[in-house]
Amino acid sequence: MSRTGIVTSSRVNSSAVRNKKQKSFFDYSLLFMMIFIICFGLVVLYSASAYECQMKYGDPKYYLMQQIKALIMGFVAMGIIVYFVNYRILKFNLFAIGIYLISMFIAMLVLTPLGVEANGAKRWISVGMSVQVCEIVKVGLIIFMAYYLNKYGSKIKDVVSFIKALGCVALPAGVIAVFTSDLSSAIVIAGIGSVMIFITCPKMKYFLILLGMGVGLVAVAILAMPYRMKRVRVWLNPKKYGEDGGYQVLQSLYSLASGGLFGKGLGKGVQKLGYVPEAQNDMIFTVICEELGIIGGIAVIFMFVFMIYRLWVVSVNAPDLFGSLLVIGVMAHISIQTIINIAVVTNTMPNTGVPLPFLSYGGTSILCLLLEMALVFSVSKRTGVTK
Amino acid sequence: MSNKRPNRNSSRMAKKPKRKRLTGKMNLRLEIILGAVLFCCIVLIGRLIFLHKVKGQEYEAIVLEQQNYTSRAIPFKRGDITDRNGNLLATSIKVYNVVFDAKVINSEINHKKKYYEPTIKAFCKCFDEIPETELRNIIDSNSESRYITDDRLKRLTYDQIKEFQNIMADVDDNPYVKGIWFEEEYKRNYPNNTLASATLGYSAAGNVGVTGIESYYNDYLNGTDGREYGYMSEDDDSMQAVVKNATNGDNLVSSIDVNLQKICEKYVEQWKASYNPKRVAVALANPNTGEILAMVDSESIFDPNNPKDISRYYTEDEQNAMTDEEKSDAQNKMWRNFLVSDGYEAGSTIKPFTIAGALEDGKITSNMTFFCDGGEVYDKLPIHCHKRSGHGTETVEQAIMNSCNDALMQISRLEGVDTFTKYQSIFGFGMKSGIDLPGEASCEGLLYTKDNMKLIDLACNSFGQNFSVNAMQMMSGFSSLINGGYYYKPHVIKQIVNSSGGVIKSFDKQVVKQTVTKETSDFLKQALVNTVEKGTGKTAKVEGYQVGGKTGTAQHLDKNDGSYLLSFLGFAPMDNPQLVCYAIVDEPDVPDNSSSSYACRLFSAVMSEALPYMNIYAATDTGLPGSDTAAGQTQTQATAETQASAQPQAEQETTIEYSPSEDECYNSDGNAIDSGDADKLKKETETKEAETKSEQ
Repeated sequence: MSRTGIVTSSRVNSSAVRNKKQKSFFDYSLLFMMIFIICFGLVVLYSASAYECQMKYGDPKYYLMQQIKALIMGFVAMGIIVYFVNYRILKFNLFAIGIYLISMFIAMLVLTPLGVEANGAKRWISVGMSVQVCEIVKVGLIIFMAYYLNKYGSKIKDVVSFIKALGCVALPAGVIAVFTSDLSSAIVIAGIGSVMIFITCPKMKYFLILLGMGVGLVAVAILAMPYRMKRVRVWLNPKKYGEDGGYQVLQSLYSLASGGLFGKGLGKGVQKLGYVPEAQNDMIFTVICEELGIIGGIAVIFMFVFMIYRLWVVSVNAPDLFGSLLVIGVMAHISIQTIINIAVVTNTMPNTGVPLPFLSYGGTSILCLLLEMALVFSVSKRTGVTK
Repeated sequence: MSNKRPNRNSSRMAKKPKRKRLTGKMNLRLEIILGAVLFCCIVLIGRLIFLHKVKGQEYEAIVLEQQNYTSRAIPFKRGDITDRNGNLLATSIKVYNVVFDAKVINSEINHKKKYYEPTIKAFCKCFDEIPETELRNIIDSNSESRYITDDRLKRLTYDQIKEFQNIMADVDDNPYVKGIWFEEEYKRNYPNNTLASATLGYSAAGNVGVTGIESYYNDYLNGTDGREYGYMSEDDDSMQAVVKNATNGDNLVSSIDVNLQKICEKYVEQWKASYNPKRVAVALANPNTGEILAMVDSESIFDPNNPKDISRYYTEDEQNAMTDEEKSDAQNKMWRNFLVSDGYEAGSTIKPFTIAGALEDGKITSNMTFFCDGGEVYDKLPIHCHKRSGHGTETVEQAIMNSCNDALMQISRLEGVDTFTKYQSIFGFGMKSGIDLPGEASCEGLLYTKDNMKLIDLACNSFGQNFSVNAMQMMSGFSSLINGGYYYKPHVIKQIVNSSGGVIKSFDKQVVKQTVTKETSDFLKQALVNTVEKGTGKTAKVEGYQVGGKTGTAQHLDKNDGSYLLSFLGFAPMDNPQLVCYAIVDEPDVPDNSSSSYACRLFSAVMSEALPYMNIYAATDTGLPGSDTAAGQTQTQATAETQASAQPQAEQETTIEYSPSEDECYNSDGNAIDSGDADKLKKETETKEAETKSEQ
């Protein structure tokens, strides 16, 4: 088979017949996978949150309804973007740089009276509804880095330009880390940016150096900051440090492993009844494992793997580099959060709060994810047009 | 796999200079990233399987154990019910279940069981419910269990556990008594046992109110359980607890007065014992607020502390012979409050209502007179007055005093179906009175409507036969007749107070409507007083008080066996009614079972104790107050009437060809619809015209 022939077949993918007619490639597999994960997430969210909502708000559907509201908004926005907006308009300097700066400006609003303080940190702003600023910064970063790397990516051949590119990532990560004291989100942001630079940067050598420096930096940070050291100790021996957060880790482990192969049945978990804190949030994977068993947990991981695979297919078939980079950013976002979240609840890495995409409770998070997916579909829709 | 890798060559494809695409190098990088993601996912899946395989069972056990031990409900206290003066009618008392934590008792410190002996010794010194050897056995055989209870050691009172609690608290002298704790619970308690049971109802296990106030106000009485979350620290067996306190239920202040209730119950029992009727019931209410002060039904008395016990009504042998279904029927019957849930024919106590309606709409005036010849004939069916020889010419007031059926039939004829049914609904018959007790009967289907009421039905209805009412409708309607026309919603709860003492709701007076004008009310009050002074209600007199009221002798038409429901509905004192009392004696086992005096005397007995208790003292002038002009007028009117009725027969337009077989007792006002008489009589069915006579 000639290579060009394969290329064509890969481009048009599974819906070859349809493409001939419409001359566009819309990734329905990805769309259905996403809708399925979201619906599944609603069921699990209801199961995980009903008890806490009943205790807190007297209405077991409270979180569920909040989430559904955000989803409706997200889907409406998604429909508009996919149908009416060509992602390429984001290539204009004005849009890309504008969104990047505005997203960081919004993040800094937490310092104004709009900021909402919870658990000693200001991570939210209240504008009629609560908005988690780090999610917006993630969207801004993905768009800007796609723009920046599309333009200058191939030119990163010396240290200065490499550091410049890094700076573009470090700026929003720093904003989040400093202004909202949300290190976990800063790490996710840095991760997304690094993956995008890694894809485009011609010089692998810089990356290996960066990796080495990063590990060293992390080690220094942990050793220098006693409270981070404590987290590591908790990670290594949660039973011994129960009062410093080990209790949470242990409860989530109990929950994970107590479900058996097929789980206790949907809605029948007991750990969410006051043992696993914020079960509907970062810990939702433990509820899935308790109620649907190890099989259910693995199935969820497979769903994400499939979704990431489809994102990869869209990115390699994208009509232009900018589109590919956009999709890669989204893919990095979903992958990093999924892996960190599951690694934390299984105590594979030290505790850090990152939500599970599409499944965890959080209006801003799901809304921003849907916006990112809208860009992906916008790219996917224009794939077949190139001749 | 080959189809995954084609795009390395995409650069070749994208030869157009304008459009940049992913280069082969970039694709390789992307595949590295994808590989890394896959690798991470595989590691995580491996980790999940590892946790499941290696730790699964251990963690499952921990989760189960946590459930038992650390997340326990803190029970709320169901609200108290007190009477109007704060006497407890129903309360919840804390009881304690003993829980043994065998793991703690058996725990070893330096390889010695330090707690075991002292704890068991101390426990057996304080409790003798369980023998020491058996206790040791239980703790030894469940040495890992953290939650052992025993039915013999449940629901103990505070006094029972006090001694042991003191030992536990005294850590200095008894440092090694550990591993026993007390789980709290509430038990519903009714300190007055059977008192006001039908009104109170009872609360079944799990704080479910079943009948009465307990059921109607269940949602207020119940609170929400609190919860104690926590976990056992693995290292030092200390409990890390987070407590969410329980919200106790609201307390209810009832309008019931325990002392009045006691008075009523005393006489109800006396009557039940003396005359062996099917049922005796008494209710007391305040006509100026609608508050029910006491309520007894002889057939629904039970001990809410033990609500399923029917031994009051059935002997041991009878109970043994019953099937489960019969037993549950008997229980349901016992929990049913006749005064609220049952409809019955009221009889002549309806007469004041009929007259009130006629007066209000101007169909009659209070100075009209009627001629009673002993009965009326409708559709060839004679309907007798209880005095078959006839009362002669009577004023409206005398018609009430004599409880004359004939006059009432004539009045209802003047009143007409429209006005009569209109006033039935104004007085709330056929509608729920809205009393705050469950299962009120509206009797709606047992009333005639404007469209299906025939003249004969109107005639019977006019003196309270042939339609059903419930006692609450009667009392509320009657109160409005004598208090100036204000219909208050009857109620048994005055106030709802939350557990910290704040008033949530107050039901002082709720005027539903104005039924009659003050003039009509004053007229009826006087007529009813005269009924007791000089009319059919003489036996209802209360020594030293001026009381008013109306007798009722309702034939059980449905049974057609000559059995009667006797009643008296009256009030006191005359000038400012403070108390309405309704006495019902159903089918007394006596020869003259149609004599309403059984109910009258019950009324009198209850009132003569209740009035002094209410600080309503006997009037110094026990006779008719001379200053009362209305009474004076009536008197002269009455004498004038007697003179005028010297030639009653002559003025009759119709002739009566029957003679009453017997003169019934004056005190009874029973009526008879005797279809057998129809053939004997050849009486015109023409309407009799009421004769009016000016007073002057």
